[in-house]
Amino acid sequence: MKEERIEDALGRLETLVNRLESGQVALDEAIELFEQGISEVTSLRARLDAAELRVTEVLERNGMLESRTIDPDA
Amino acid sequence: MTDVAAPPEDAATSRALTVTEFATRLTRHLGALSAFEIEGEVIGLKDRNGHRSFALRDATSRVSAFVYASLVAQLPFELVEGLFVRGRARVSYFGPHGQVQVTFETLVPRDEGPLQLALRQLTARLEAEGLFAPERKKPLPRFPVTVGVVTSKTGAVFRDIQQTIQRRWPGLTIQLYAVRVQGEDAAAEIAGAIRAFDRAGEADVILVGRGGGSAEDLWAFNEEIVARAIAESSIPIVSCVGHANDQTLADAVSDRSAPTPTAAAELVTPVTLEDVQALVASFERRAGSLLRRRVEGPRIRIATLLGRRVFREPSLLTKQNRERVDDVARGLVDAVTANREDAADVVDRARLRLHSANPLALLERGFAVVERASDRAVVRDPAEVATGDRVRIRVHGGEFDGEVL
Repeated sequence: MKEERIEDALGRLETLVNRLESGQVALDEAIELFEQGISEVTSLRARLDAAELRVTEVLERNGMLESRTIDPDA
Repeated sequence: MTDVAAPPEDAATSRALTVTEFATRLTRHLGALSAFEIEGEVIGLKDRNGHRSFALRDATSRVSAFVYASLVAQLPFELVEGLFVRGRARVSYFGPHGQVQVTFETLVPRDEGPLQLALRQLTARLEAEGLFAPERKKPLPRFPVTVGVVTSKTGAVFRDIQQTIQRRWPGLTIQLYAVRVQGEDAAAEIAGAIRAFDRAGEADVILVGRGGGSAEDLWAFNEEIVARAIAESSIPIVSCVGHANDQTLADAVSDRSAPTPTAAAELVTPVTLEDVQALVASFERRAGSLLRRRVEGPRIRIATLLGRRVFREPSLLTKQNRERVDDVARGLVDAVTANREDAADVVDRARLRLHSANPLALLERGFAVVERASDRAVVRDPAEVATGDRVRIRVHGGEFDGEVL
């Protein structure tokens, strides 16, 4: 499965905080939202910390890109 | 050089020249003249099966002119009406039309380089097609996952792009499609790479560029095939060709153009790792303070409740009760001593008063008793509980659990 885009995770976090901010949610729901937010934050942090640049060289063959990794530091 | 109009050697015969004979002589005569440079304005341009015929003129004279299709095909620019041209030509006589004409062997614009003119003409054509229109420009993604790069594998451009992306948003995949960026095949390779990325559809944005160089070095980025590949790409393209003041056709057609590879790499990573980390932290802070505020209200209410006299001095309850019981007892005594009719009444009143004296009746009025869940001790002071302690809250209708925040 393709990894979820950071953009989407951030968007979800933003919606969550906005809902919390609206004051329209009941207390226990607010607590639930908060917990959900904290777990989003934790997994986002982990992803950001693990982010690593991948560099590949590609060429087209039969409409598909063939790639081989090249060392970014080379 | 012989006189064209001179009669043939057998002049004695006094035979007149036929027109064809005259034409043949004239043709031979003119053909013997060496090639010369001529310049003038192109007027009455016509396409004759790929060849071009027109009149070359200046302020006072004109002469028929002809360009073979083979030469037309080699011209980088388009021969157009009103253009001032110059070139090496030979003169000939074209019998069927009775015309003297110059036939060009080379042809260039008089007032600028052929490539400059070619570029100007191409630019005007693409402009008329609307290829530079601002509404055609595609927005760049905020968080690309894969960035396609079309440039030379060697040289500083790719290195600069790589380093900038590494610094700003390292969670990316860079796909390099290595191409030649100058020379005869460069334009076709660049266009091919762009189309390959577009077909594969893996990249979220494409960077196209090369480092600085002479106008000829950058020329591939002025070619129509490259401009069209960029214009037709469904993936947004950022160009960075040459130095800041080099403007190529590729730059004009691209969705964004950057003065340097570093600036281009910054455009495709509009949000940096630092930005996102700060954003995440701010979400966390906001959520935390929101929740605290949300919890603050009930907490104050509970604290106020706990601060009420009955909770602070529960002995009051028994003291009051005692007094009331005494009261009631007195009442009963009174009742017993009163006559029988009054007795029921008095008992009723007594029951009512007893009832109101019952500590549990306080609950009916909306008060609550808080006990520690661990040992069921009644909480009389906020200091008797700590955050996280489970408590049991007894109200009139029953009891429920809570947690101290």
